[in-house]
Amino acid sequence: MAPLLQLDNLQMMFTGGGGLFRKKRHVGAVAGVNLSLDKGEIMAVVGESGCGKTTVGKMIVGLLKPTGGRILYNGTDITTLHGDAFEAYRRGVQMVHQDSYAALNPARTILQSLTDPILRHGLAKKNAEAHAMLEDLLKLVGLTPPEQFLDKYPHQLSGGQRQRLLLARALSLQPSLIVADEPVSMVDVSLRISLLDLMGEMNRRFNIAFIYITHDLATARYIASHGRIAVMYPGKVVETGNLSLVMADPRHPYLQALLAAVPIPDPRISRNMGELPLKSLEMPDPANPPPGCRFHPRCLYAESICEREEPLLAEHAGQWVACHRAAQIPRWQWQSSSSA
Amino acid sequence: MATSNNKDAILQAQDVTVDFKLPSRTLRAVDHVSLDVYRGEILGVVGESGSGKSTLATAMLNIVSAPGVISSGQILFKGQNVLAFSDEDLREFRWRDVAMVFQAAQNSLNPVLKIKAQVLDTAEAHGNQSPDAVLKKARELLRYVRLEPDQVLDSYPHQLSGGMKQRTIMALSLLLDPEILILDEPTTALDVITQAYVMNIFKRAHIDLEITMVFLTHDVSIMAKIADRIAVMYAGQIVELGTVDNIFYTPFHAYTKGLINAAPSLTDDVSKRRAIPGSPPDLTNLPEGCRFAPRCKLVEEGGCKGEYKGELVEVEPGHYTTCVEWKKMRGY
Repeated sequence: MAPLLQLDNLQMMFTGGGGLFRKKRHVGAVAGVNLSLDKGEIMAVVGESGCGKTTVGKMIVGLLKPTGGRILYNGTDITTLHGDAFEAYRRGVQMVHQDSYAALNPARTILQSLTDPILRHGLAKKNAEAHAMLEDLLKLVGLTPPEQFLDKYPHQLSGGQRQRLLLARALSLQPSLIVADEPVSMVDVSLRISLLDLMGEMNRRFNIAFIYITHDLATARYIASHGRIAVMYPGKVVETGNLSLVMADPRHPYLQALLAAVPIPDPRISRNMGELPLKSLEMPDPANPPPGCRFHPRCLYAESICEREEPLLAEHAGQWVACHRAAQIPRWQWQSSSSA
Repeated sequence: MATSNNKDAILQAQDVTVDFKLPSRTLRAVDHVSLDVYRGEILGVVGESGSGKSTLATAMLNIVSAPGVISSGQILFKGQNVLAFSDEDLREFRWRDVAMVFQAAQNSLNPVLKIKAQVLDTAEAHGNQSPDAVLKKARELLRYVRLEPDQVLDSYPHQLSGGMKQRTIMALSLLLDPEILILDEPTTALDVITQAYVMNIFKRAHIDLEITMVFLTHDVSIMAKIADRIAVMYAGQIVELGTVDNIFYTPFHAYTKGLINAAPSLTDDVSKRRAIPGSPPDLTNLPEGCRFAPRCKLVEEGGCKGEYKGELVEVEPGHYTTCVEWKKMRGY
């Protein structure tokens, strides 16, 4: 059976600037990403700002049109979908955005904002029916009692509540895949776990697949502990595999640096972490990526081959790594970064 | 005062209350809080949104924004009452004695001025140094935060990345050699790698320049790395205060314990993470007694009646809690 979602050499080239005397700027935000996701699977897509993770998410839900490659949904290229099949894809793939305030119309009540999609996709015939569906949904995401929320405006809710609402809106269309783009990065640390738990529950109860996009490895590890991870570095996937495997034995030097940067809520461990295993802080300019391996200017282990040839994803004991030197670089250990 | 002792307290909040007078009710954002900042330490203040940590910080600089008013208590800087300062004294005090880096600091740069102009403006508003001396100092500081000085000074804010802007602000805040730096969520909008990098710079500035720091955040994980002492705020009150080890390894307040357990980590068993049930109380309609009681496990299991005695009690040297049943927190 075909996977739920398949990204086949997916590319996105943004073209900007340009004028009478100025050359156009081509920015390869996504430069050939291959991933696949099964029904009910959770995948964490991890990387820093500018690595293209959000662009991938937007292409999956159809907000951006790829400039190259294909997206297969249930085995069919989404650009070939028409009529009912297209509707089914649009309904089946939902997105939860990072900024919950920006994602809700401030001038409409929760009831107004959330009944529209249900009616639009014909999941309810009448307003009253949609209303009843909504009440169940709000209960499902822990916004109880629902009557207290339905007539409120977005600004009257807290960030955590709005995020639950976005999840309810996504769930209202009974999707098979939810792309969640940094859904918890704007809520307090103390509330993140409860939101992640909620997504985990939706995954188990309704077999909804999740693509969890984040820069935070700690939350990725939490939500996708039985799922997979893909680590992105400007435009490319540099390491991917089962999350528990990859986290236990990260091979790509970029992933090792990301791990070393995550603050640990334990003073004895976090105070032993030394400098980051990186040569510089700055990400490469995506309009003008370095030749060879895009990570080589920041990499502690780079050799001449890294400057010339672009590494491809290759298998290393069950996980896939795009690094020429993956077999030679030191294995990751929790205190090792101080000696690096 | 529960938190005063013979250490060198350079900045003190004593019994400070900040009220926001709304049309129909009064919201008490900070409720009779006393907190000493010792010379040479990094003091962390941790709490969820709405816990009053930012308001407490603005009270310390006497810049509480309207309609907020400091309705009780005093702020002492080296023993002098900041709230009684004249405008001229306040101008001297802010930035020169105590500098503050605000939340989303990247947005506190003026978008239509080059960094250079903003550096000169700041110096001019707070003193009379010659432009050359100011720029020389600014270059040194920018180099210190590992930026290319000439490139940054000649840029508009939008030409810099988030991490660069954050480090520019950091350099600017040190321009007048303040003794204390108050940092309000200084890394929240940054990527993890930039955050780790900026934290290392803070730590280095603290050691090299002997700056006392007050660090406000909702993220306990960051505290583990940087703070010497931690004050935990909940619903406008400090509920626990102690060294970083006190707070992380032997917390004597269920809220503190809850915060630590709720922080996603890379090293822990994921199944041990627990969200804190419920949500913080409405500050205009507070419960009687302990404000955390409705969410507290001790109360739920009948180990506590939710009493609140009104102040922090020192339960071991330097470790304070408001929890009346703190002994039951041992091995919890």
